[in-house]
Amino acid sequence: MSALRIEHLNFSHPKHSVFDDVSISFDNPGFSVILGKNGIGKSTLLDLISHLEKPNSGQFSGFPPANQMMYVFQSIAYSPDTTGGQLLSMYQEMNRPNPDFSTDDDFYLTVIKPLLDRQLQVMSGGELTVMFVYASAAIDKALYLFDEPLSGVDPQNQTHIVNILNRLSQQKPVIVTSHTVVPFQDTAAHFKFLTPAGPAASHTYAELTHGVDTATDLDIFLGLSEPSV
Amino acid sequence: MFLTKVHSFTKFYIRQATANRITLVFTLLFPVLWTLYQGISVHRTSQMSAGQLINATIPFTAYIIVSTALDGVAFATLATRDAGFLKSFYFVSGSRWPMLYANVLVQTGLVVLENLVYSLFSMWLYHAFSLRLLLVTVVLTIVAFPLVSLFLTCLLLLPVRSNSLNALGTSLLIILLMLYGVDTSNGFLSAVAQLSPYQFIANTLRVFLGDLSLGTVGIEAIVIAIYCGIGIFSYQRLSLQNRGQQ
Repeated sequence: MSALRIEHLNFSHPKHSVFDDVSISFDNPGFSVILGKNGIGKSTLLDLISHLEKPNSGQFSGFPPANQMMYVFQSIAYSPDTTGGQLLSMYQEMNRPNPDFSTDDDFYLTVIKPLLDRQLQVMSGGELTVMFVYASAAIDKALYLFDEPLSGVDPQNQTHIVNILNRLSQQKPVIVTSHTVVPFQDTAAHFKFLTPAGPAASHTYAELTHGVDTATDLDIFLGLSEPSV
Repeated sequence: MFLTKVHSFTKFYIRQATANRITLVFTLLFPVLWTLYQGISVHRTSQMSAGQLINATIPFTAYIIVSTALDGVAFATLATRDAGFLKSFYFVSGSRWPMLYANVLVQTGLVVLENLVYSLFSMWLYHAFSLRLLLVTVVLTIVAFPLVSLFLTCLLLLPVRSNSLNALGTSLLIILLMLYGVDTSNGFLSAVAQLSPYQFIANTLRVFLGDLSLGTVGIEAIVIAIYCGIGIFSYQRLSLQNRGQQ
Protein backbone atom coordinates (compact mmCIF):
# COMPACT_ATOMS: atom_id res chain seq x y z
CA MET A 1 0.00 0.00 0.00
CA SER A 2 1.18 3.53 -0.68
CA ALA A 3 2.66 5.61 2.13
CA LEU A 4 0.68 8.44 3.67
CA ARG A 5 2.30 11.74 2.74
CA ILE A 6 1.97 15.37 3.69
CA GLU A 7 3.95 17.83 1.60
CA HIS A 8 4.61 21.54 2.01
CA LEU A 9 2.21 21.91 4.91
CA ASN A 10 1.50 25.42 6.11
CA PHE A 11 -0.74 26.07 9.07
CA SER A 12 -1.11 28.94 11.46
CA HIS A 13 -3.33 29.93 14.34
CA PRO A 14 -4.23 33.63 14.45
CA LYS A 15 -0.95 35.54 15.02
CA HIS A 16 1.04 32.29 15.42
CA SER A 17 2.55 30.11 12.71
CA VAL A 18 2.64 26.39 13.58
CA PHE A 19 3.94 24.74 10.38
CA ASP A 20 5.91 26.43 7.64
CA ASP A 21 6.52 24.17 4.63
CA VAL A 22 6.63 20.93 6.65
CA SER A 23 6.75 17.56 4.86
CA ILE A 24 6.31 14.18 6.54
CA SER A 25 5.36 10.65 5.53
CA PHE A 26 4.02 7.59 7.39
CA ASP A 27 4.28 3.88 6.58
CA ASN A 28 1.12 2.07 5.51
CA PRO A 29 0.80 -0.31 7.27
CA GLY A 30 3.27 0.72 9.93
CA PHE A 31 3.95 2.30 13.26
CA SER A 32 4.91 5.99 13.34
CA VAL A 33 5.71 7.87 16.52
CA ILE A 34 5.76 11.65 16.30
CA LEU A 35 8.20 13.25 18.72
CA GLY A 36 8.81 16.91 19.45
CA LYS A 37 8.92 19.58 22.08
CA ASN A 38 5.80 20.86 23.86
CA GLY A 39 3.82 23.20 21.64
CA ILE A 40 5.63 22.17 18.47
CA GLY A 41 2.33 21.02 16.91
CA LYS A 42 2.16 17.25 17.41
CA SER A 43 -1.55 17.25 18.36
CA THR A 44 -2.25 19.90 15.72
CA LEU A 45 -0.72 17.61 13.11
CA LEU A 46 -3.16 14.83 14.11
CA ASP A 47 -6.01 17.37 14.01
CA LEU A 48 -4.98 18.32 10.47
CA ILE A 49 -4.74 14.68 9.36
CA SER A 50 -8.21 13.99 10.82
CA HIS A 51 -9.73 17.15 9.23
CA LEU A 52 -10.56 18.69 12.60
CA GLU A 53 -8.38 21.58 11.46
CA LYS A 54 -7.92 22.91 7.93
CA PRO A 55 -4.42 23.69 6.66
CA ASN A 56 -3.61 27.00 4.99
CA SER A 57 -1.96 24.99 2.23
CA GLY A 58 -0.28 21.64 1.61
CA GLN A 59 -0.89 18.32 -0.13
CA PHE A 60 -2.19 15.24 1.69
CA SER A 61 -1.98 11.95 -0.24
CA GLY A 62 -2.89 8.37 0.67
CA PHE A 63 -5.01 9.28 3.72
CA PRO A 64 -8.49 7.78 4.08
CA PRO A 65 -11.52 10.03 4.61
CA ALA A 66 -12.05 11.21 8.21
CA ASN A 67 -14.99 8.87 8.78
CA GLN A 68 -12.68 5.88 8.22
CA MET A 69 -10.16 7.06 10.81
CA MET A 70 -10.06 6.33 14.54
CA TYR A 71 -8.68 9.13 16.67
CA VAL A 72 -8.09 8.77 20.42
CA PHE A 73 -7.50 12.13 22.07
CA GLN A 74 -5.10 12.87 24.89
CA SER A 75 -7.96 14.14 27.03
CA ILE A 76 -10.46 11.30 26.89
CA ALA A 77 -14.15 12.21 27.22
CA TYR A 78 -16.14 9.50 28.96
CA SER A 79 -19.41 8.93 30.75
CA PRO A 80 -18.30 8.02 34.32
CA ASP A 81 -20.88 5.34 35.07
CA THR A 82 -20.25 3.45 31.82
CA THR A 83 -18.47 0.13 32.35
CA GLY A 84 -15.52 -1.08 30.31
CA GLY A 85 -17.77 -3.75 28.80
CA GLN A 86 -20.40 -1.19 27.76
CA LEU A 87 -17.70 0.95 26.14
CA LEU A 88 -16.34 -2.01 24.20
CA SER A 89 -19.86 -3.05 23.10
CA MET A 90 -20.68 0.49 21.99
CA TYR A 91 -17.58 0.67 19.79
CA GLN A 92 -18.16 -2.78 18.34
CA GLU A 93 -21.88 -2.29 17.66
CA MET A 94 -21.03 0.64 15.40
CA ASN A 95 -18.19 -0.95 13.44
CA ARG A 96 -16.92 -4.16 11.94
CA PRO A 97 -14.62 -5.92 14.41
CA ASN A 98 -10.89 -5.95 13.79
CA PRO A 99 -10.14 -9.67 13.23
CA ASP A 100 -6.67 -9.29 14.78
CA PHE A 101 -8.18 -8.59 18.20
CA SER A 102 -10.15 -11.62 19.36
CA THR A 103 -11.69 -12.25 22.74
CA ASP A 104 -9.82 -15.52 23.29
CA ASP A 105 -6.25 -14.26 23.14
CA ASP A 106 -4.10 -13.95 26.24
CA PHE A 107 -3.98 -10.17 26.25
CA TYR A 108 -7.76 -9.85 26.22
CA LEU A 109 -8.20 -12.47 28.93
CA THR A 110 -5.53 -11.15 31.28
CA VAL A 111 -5.66 -7.38 30.77
CA ILE A 112 -9.01 -6.37 29.25
CA LYS A 113 -11.48 -8.88 30.68
CA PRO A 114 -10.91 -7.85 34.34
CA LEU A 115 -11.80 -4.26 33.38
CA LEU A 116 -15.11 -5.08 31.67
CA ASP A 117 -17.31 -4.98 34.78
CA ARG A 118 -15.71 -1.86 36.24
CA GLN A 119 -17.10 1.63 35.74
CA LEU A 120 -14.80 4.03 33.92
CA GLN A 121 -14.92 6.43 36.89
CA VAL A 122 -13.21 3.92 39.19
CA MET A 123 -10.45 3.01 36.73
CA SER A 124 -7.00 4.55 37.11
CA GLY A 125 -5.80 6.92 34.37
CA GLY A 126 -3.64 4.14 32.97
CA GLU A 127 -6.44 1.54 32.96
CA LEU A 128 -8.76 4.04 31.32
CA THR A 129 -6.27 4.69 28.53
CA VAL A 130 -5.66 0.95 28.05
CA MET A 131 -9.44 0.43 27.79
CA PHE A 132 -9.95 3.20 25.22
CA VAL A 133 -6.88 2.23 23.17
CA TYR A 134 -8.01 -1.41 23.11
CA ALA A 135 -11.63 -0.53 22.24
CA SER A 136 -10.36 1.66 19.39
CA ALA A 137 -7.93 -0.93 18.07
CA ALA A 138 -10.56 -3.69 18.19
CA ILE A 139 -12.70 -1.97 15.52
CA ASP A 140 -11.89 -1.95 11.84
CA LYS A 141 -10.72 1.46 10.61
CA ALA A 142 -8.33 2.50 7.82
CA LEU A 143 -6.08 4.71 9.97
CA TYR A 144 -5.51 5.02 13.72
CA LEU A 145 -4.37 8.20 15.48
CA PHE A 146 -3.41 8.30 19.16
CA ASP A 147 -2.49 11.55 20.85
CA GLU A 148 0.01 10.91 23.67
CA PRO A 149 -1.45 7.57 24.81
CA LEU A 150 1.47 7.04 27.22
CA SER A 151 1.08 10.37 28.98
CA GLY A 152 0.55 9.90 32.73
CA VAL A 153 0.49 6.11 32.43
CA ASP A 154 2.56 3.79 34.65
CA PRO A 155 5.25 1.57 33.00
CA GLN A 156 3.14 -1.61 33.16
CA ASN A 157 0.16 -0.02 31.44
CA GLN A 158 2.55 1.68 28.99
CA THR A 159 3.71 -1.80 28.01
CA HIS A 160 0.08 -2.90 27.50
CA ILE A 161 -0.66 0.14 25.32
CA VAL A 162 2.47 -0.29 23.20
CA ASN A 163 1.60 -3.98 22.82
CA ILE A 164 -1.85 -3.04 21.41
CA LEU A 165 -0.44 -0.37 19.10
CA ASN A 166 2.31 -2.65 17.82
CA ARG A 167 -0.16 -5.44 17.00
CA LEU A 168 -2.44 -2.97 15.28
CA SER A 169 0.40 -1.58 13.15
CA GLN A 170 1.10 -5.00 11.57
CA GLN A 171 -2.00 -4.53 9.39
CA LYS A 172 -2.90 -0.83 9.56
CA PRO A 173 -1.16 2.54 9.65
CA VAL A 174 -0.84 3.76 13.25
CA ILE A 175 0.32 7.29 14.10
CA VAL A 176 1.10 8.13 17.72
CA THR A 177 2.41 11.27 19.39
CA SER A 178 4.69 10.85 22.39
CA HIS A 179 7.29 12.45 24.63
CA THR A 180 8.82 9.08 25.48
CA VAL A 181 10.78 6.72 23.25
CA VAL A 182 12.05 3.89 25.44
CA PRO A 183 8.66 2.10 25.80
CA PHE A 184 8.69 1.60 22.00
CA GLN A 185 12.14 -0.02 21.89
CA ASP A 186 10.89 -3.54 21.05
CA THR A 187 8.67 -2.38 18.19
CA ALA A 188 9.38 -1.59 14.56
CA ALA A 189 8.22 2.00 15.08
CA HIS A 190 9.66 4.82 13.01
CA PHE A 191 10.20 7.99 15.01
CA LYS A 192 9.50 11.34 13.33
CA PHE A 193 11.02 14.34 15.04
CA LEU A 194 8.79 17.30 14.32
CA THR A 195 10.20 20.78 13.80
CA PRO A 196 8.27 23.91 12.76
CA ALA A 197 9.84 23.94 9.29
CA GLY A 198 11.30 21.57 6.71
CA PRO A 199 11.02 17.78 6.38
CA ALA A 200 10.58 15.70 9.54
CA ALA A 201 13.52 13.30 9.96
CA SER A 202 12.67 9.60 10.45
CA HIS A 203 14.65 7.20 12.67
CA THR A 204 14.43 3.66 14.00
CA TYR A 205 14.98 3.04 17.71
CA ALA A 206 18.52 1.71 17.03
CA GLU A 207 19.39 4.85 15.09
CA LEU A 208 18.14 7.05 17.89
CA THR A 209 20.14 5.29 20.60
CA HIS A 210 23.27 4.68 18.46
CA GLY A 211 23.31 1.17 19.89
CA VAL A 212 23.62 2.38 23.49
CA ASP A 213 21.37 0.04 25.51
CA THR A 214 21.15 2.35 28.51
CA ALA A 215 19.96 5.41 26.58
CA THR A 216 17.23 7.30 28.42
CA ASP A 217 14.36 9.34 27.02
CA LEU A 218 16.26 12.50 27.95
CA ASP A 219 19.42 11.35 26.09
CA ILE A 220 17.38 10.54 23.01
CA PHE A 221 15.37 13.74 23.16
CA LEU A 222 18.46 15.92 23.57
CA GLY A 223 20.17 13.96 20.79
CA LEU A 224 17.28 14.65 18.43
CA SER A 225 17.39 18.33 19.23
CA GLU A 226 20.97 18.46 17.92
CA PRO A 227 21.23 19.11 14.15
CA SER A 228 23.90 16.38 13.73
CA VAL A 229 21.48 13.51 14.48
CA MET B 1 -25.79 0.15 10.68
CA PHE B 2 -27.06 3.73 11.00
CA LEU B 3 -29.91 2.62 13.26
CA THR B 4 -27.49 0.57 15.36
CA LYS B 5 -25.40 3.69 15.87
CA VAL B 6 -28.48 5.73 16.82
CA HIS B 7 -29.46 2.97 19.26
CA SER B 8 -26.00 2.97 20.88
CA PHE B 9 -25.95 6.74 21.30
CA THR B 10 -29.52 6.69 22.61
CA LYS B 11 -28.30 4.72 25.63
CA PHE B 12 -25.65 7.40 26.22
CA TYR B 13 -28.16 10.26 25.98
CA ILE B 14 -30.64 8.50 28.28
CA ARG B 15 -27.87 8.30 30.88
CA GLN B 16 -27.12 12.00 30.35
CA ALA B 17 -30.79 12.97 30.61
CA THR B 18 -31.41 10.99 33.78
CA ALA B 19 -28.33 12.59 35.31
CA ASN B 20 -29.90 16.04 34.68
CA ARG B 21 -33.41 15.46 36.03
CA ILE B 22 -33.59 18.94 37.57
CA THR B 23 -33.74 20.50 34.06
CA LEU B 24 -37.07 18.76 33.48
CA VAL B 25 -38.51 20.39 36.59
CA PHE B 26 -37.28 23.86 35.57
CA THR B 27 -38.78 23.54 32.09
CA LEU B 28 -42.18 22.78 33.63
CA LEU B 29 -41.92 25.37 36.38
CA PHE B 30 -42.73 28.53 34.37
CA PRO B 31 -45.74 27.11 32.46
CA VAL B 32 -47.17 25.49 35.58
CA LEU B 33 -46.80 28.60 37.74
CA TRP B 34 -48.24 30.89 35.06
CA THR B 35 -51.15 28.56 34.39
CA LEU B 36 -51.78 28.29 38.13
CA TYR B 37 -51.83 32.09 38.38
CA GLN B 38 -54.19 32.35 35.39
CA GLY B 39 -56.39 29.61 36.75
CA ILE B 40 -56.70 31.15 40.19
CA SER B 41 -56.96 34.83 39.26
CA VAL B 42 -58.59 34.97 35.82
CA HIS B 43 -60.58 31.82 35.14
CA ARG B 44 -61.48 31.18 38.74
CA THR B 45 -65.16 30.55 38.24
CA SER B 46 -65.27 29.41 34.63
CA GLN B 47 -65.19 25.85 33.43
CA MET B 48 -63.58 25.43 30.02
CA SER B 49 -64.67 23.53 26.95
CA ALA B 50 -62.13 21.30 25.18
CA GLY B 51 -61.54 23.99 22.52
CA GLN B 52 -60.96 26.69 25.12
CA LEU B 53 -58.63 24.41 27.02
CA ILE B 54 -56.56 23.79 23.88
CA ASN B 55 -56.33 27.54 23.21
CA ALA B 56 -55.34 28.23 26.83
CA THR B 57 -52.65 25.58 27.09
CA ILE B 58 -51.06 25.43 23.63
CA PRO B 59 -48.82 28.53 24.08
CA PHE B 60 -47.19 26.83 27.06
CA THR B 61 -47.03 23.49 25.29
CA ALA B 62 -45.15 25.40 22.60
CA TYR B 63 -42.93 27.01 25.24
CA ILE B 64 -42.04 23.59 26.65
CA ILE B 65 -41.21 22.33 23.14
CA VAL B 66 -39.03 25.34 22.27
CA SER B 67 -37.21 25.56 25.60
CA THR B 68 -36.45 21.81 25.57
CA ALA B 69 -35.22 22.06 21.97
CA LEU B 70 -32.97 24.91 23.03
CA ASP B 71 -31.61 23.40 26.26
CA GLY B 72 -31.90 19.68 25.57
CA VAL B 73 -30.67 19.67 21.99
CA ALA B 74 -28.97 22.89 20.83
CA PHE B 75 -27.10 23.80 24.01
CA ALA B 76 -26.63 20.15 24.97
CA THR B 77 -24.87 19.63 21.63
CA LEU B 78 -22.59 22.53 22.47
CA ALA B 79 -21.92 21.05 25.93
CA THR B 80 -21.07 17.61 24.51
CA ARG B 81 -18.84 19.31 21.94
CA ASP B 82 -17.01 21.30 24.61
CA ALA B 83 -16.58 18.20 26.79
CA GLY B 84 -14.92 16.41 23.86
CA PHE B 85 -17.70 13.83 23.31
CA LEU B 86 -18.77 15.05 19.89
CA LYS B 87 -15.39 14.56 18.21
CA SER B 88 -14.72 11.28 20.05
CA PHE B 89 -18.10 9.88 19.04
CA TYR B 90 -17.64 11.14 15.49
CA PHE B 91 -14.54 8.99 15.05
CA VAL B 92 -16.20 5.96 16.66
CA SER B 93 -19.32 6.15 14.51
CA GLY B 94 -17.90 7.75 11.37
CA SER B 95 -20.70 10.32 11.25
CA ARG B 96 -21.96 13.23 13.33
CA TRP B 97 -25.63 12.57 12.58
CA PRO B 98 -26.36 9.50 14.77
CA MET B 99 -25.56 11.61 17.86
CA LEU B 100 -28.08 14.28 16.91
CA TYR B 101 -30.75 11.71 15.98
CA ALA B 102 -30.24 9.88 19.28
CA ASN B 103 -30.41 13.03 21.38
CA VAL B 104 -33.51 14.29 19.56
CA LEU B 105 -35.13 10.88 20.06
CA VAL B 106 -34.46 10.89 23.81
CA GLN B 107 -35.53 14.52 24.21
CA THR B 108 -38.70 13.88 22.19
CA GLY B 109 -39.65 11.20 24.70
CA LEU B 110 -38.98 13.58 27.58
CA VAL B 111 -40.81 16.54 26.07
CA VAL B 112 -43.87 14.40 25.33
CA LEU B 113 -43.84 13.36 28.98
CA GLU B 114 -43.46 16.97 30.14
CA ASN B 115 -46.31 18.17 27.92
CA LEU B 116 -48.55 15.34 29.12
CA VAL B 117 -47.85 16.32 32.72
CA TYR B 118 -48.58 19.96 31.91
CA SER B 119 -51.82 19.09 30.04
CA LEU B 120 -53.05 16.88 32.89
CA PHE B 121 -52.23 19.63 35.37
CA SER B 122 -54.23 22.16 33.29
CA MET B 123 -57.18 19.77 33.06
CA TRP B 124 -57.13 19.30 36.81
CA LEU B 125 -56.95 23.06 37.33
CA TYR B 126 -59.81 23.85 34.94
CA HIS B 127 -61.89 20.80 35.86
CA ALA B 128 -62.06 19.69 32.24
CA PHE B 129 -60.75 16.40 30.92
CA SER B 130 -60.09 16.29 27.19
CA LEU B 131 -58.75 13.21 25.44
CA ARG B 132 -58.53 15.35 22.31
CA LEU B 133 -56.14 17.76 24.06
CA LEU B 134 -53.95 14.87 25.15
CA LEU B 135 -53.83 13.44 21.63
CA VAL B 136 -53.17 16.84 20.06
CA THR B 137 -50.40 17.50 22.59
CA VAL B 138 -48.67 14.19 21.88
CA VAL B 139 -48.91 14.39 18.08
CA LEU B 140 -47.99 18.08 17.96
CA THR B 141 -44.95 17.49 20.16
CA ILE B 142 -43.74 14.48 18.19
CA VAL B 143 -44.03 16.36 14.89
CA ALA B 144 -42.85 19.82 15.92
CA PHE B 145 -40.07 19.05 18.40
CA PRO B 146 -37.54 17.41 16.03
CA LEU B 147 -38.02 20.17 13.43
CA VAL B 148 -37.67 22.99 15.97
CA SER B 149 -34.59 21.27 17.45
CA LEU B 150 -32.98 20.97 14.03
CA PHE B 151 -33.71 24.62 13.23
CA LEU B 152 -32.30 25.91 16.53
CA THR B 153 -28.90 24.30 15.85
CA CYS B 154 -28.33 27.43 13.71
CA LEU B 155 -27.63 29.26 17.01
CA LEU B 156 -24.50 27.14 17.42
CA LEU B 157 -22.84 28.85 14.46
CA LEU B 158 -23.01 32.27 16.14
CA PRO B 159 -19.48 33.48 16.99
CA VAL B 160 -20.23 33.98 20.69
CA ARG B 161 -19.03 32.28 23.85
CA SER B 162 -21.07 29.41 25.32
CA ASN B 163 -22.29 31.38 28.36
CA SER B 164 -23.32 34.34 26.18
CA LEU B 165 -25.18 31.90 23.96
CA ASN B 166 -27.12 30.60 26.97
CA ALA B 167 -28.16 34.16 27.90
CA LEU B 168 -29.06 34.87 24.28
CA GLY B 169 -31.13 31.70 24.09
CA THR B 170 -33.08 32.48 27.24
CA SER B 171 -33.83 36.01 26.00
CA LEU B 172 -34.86 34.64 22.63
CA LEU B 173 -37.25 32.24 24.33
CA ILE B 174 -39.06 35.04 26.14
CA ILE B 175 -38.98 37.57 23.26
CA LEU B 176 -40.40 35.08 20.77
CA LEU B 177 -43.13 34.13 23.24
CA MET B 178 -44.03 37.80 23.73
CA LEU B 179 -44.08 38.43 19.98
CA TYR B 180 -46.25 35.40 19.31
CA GLY B 181 -49.48 36.48 17.63
CA VAL B 182 -48.44 40.13 17.22
CA ASP B 183 -49.93 41.38 13.95
CA THR B 184 -47.89 43.44 11.53
CA SER B 185 -48.83 44.99 8.19
CA ASN B 186 -45.21 44.73 6.99
CA GLY B 187 -45.03 41.78 4.59
CA PHE B 188 -41.36 41.03 5.21
CA LEU B 189 -41.72 41.07 9.01
CA SER B 190 -44.81 38.95 8.70
CA ALA B 191 -42.89 36.39 6.62
CA VAL B 192 -39.98 36.38 9.10
CA ALA B 193 -42.45 35.98 11.98
CA GLN B 194 -43.64 32.75 10.38
CA LEU B 195 -40.18 31.33 11.07
CA SER B 196 -40.63 31.79 14.82
CA PRO B 197 -40.87 28.32 16.41
CA TYR B 198 -43.97 29.42 18.34
CA GLN B 199 -45.65 30.52 15.13
CA PHE B 200 -44.65 27.26 13.49
CA ILE B 201 -46.11 25.22 16.35
CA ALA B 202 -49.34 27.25 16.24
CA ASN B 203 -49.56 26.72 12.49
CA THR B 204 -48.94 22.98 12.88
CA LEU B 205 -51.73 22.88 15.44
CA ARG B 206 -54.11 24.57 12.96
CA VAL B 207 -53.30 21.87 10.40
CA PHE B 208 -53.96 19.13 12.99
CA LEU B 209 -57.25 20.74 13.94
CA GLY B 210 -58.42 20.51 10.33
CA ASP B 211 -57.38 23.80 8.71
CA LEU B 212 -56.14 22.41 5.42
CA SER B 213 -56.42 25.66 3.48
CA LEU B 214 -53.76 26.30 0.85
CA GLY B 215 -52.36 29.22 2.88
CA THR B 216 -51.89 27.27 6.12
CA VAL B 217 -50.54 24.11 4.48
CA GLY B 218 -48.35 26.12 2.10
CA ILE B 219 -46.76 28.11 4.94
CA GLU B 220 -46.30 24.89 6.91
CA ALA B 221 -44.49 23.20 4.00
CA ILE B 222 -42.25 26.22 3.33
CA VAL B 223 -41.31 26.62 7.01
CA ILE B 224 -40.53 22.89 7.34
CA ALA B 225 -38.30 23.10 4.25
CA ILE B 226 -36.50 26.17 5.64
CA TYR B 227 -36.11 24.56 9.09
CA CYS B 228 -34.61 21.42 7.54
CA GLY B 229 -32.33 23.37 5.18
CA ILE B 230 -30.98 25.69 7.88
CA GLY B 231 -30.70 22.89 10.45
CA ILE B 232 -28.83 20.46 8.19
CA PHE B 233 -26.48 23.20 6.99
CA SER B 234 -25.79 24.44 10.54
CA TYR B 235 -25.17 21.07 12.15
CA GLN B 236 -22.98 19.94 9.27
CA ARG B 237 -20.92 23.14 9.61
CA LEU B 238 -20.59 22.92 13.39
CA SER B 239 -16.95 22.48 14.33
CA LEU B 240 -16.43 19.20 16.20
CA GLN B 241 -13.99 20.76 18.60
CA ASN B 242 -14.12 23.88 20.69
CA ARG B 243 -11.66 26.37 19.25
CA GLY B 244 -11.46 28.53 22.34
CA GLN B 245 -14.98 29.96 22.46
CA GLN B 246 -15.46 29.02 26.07
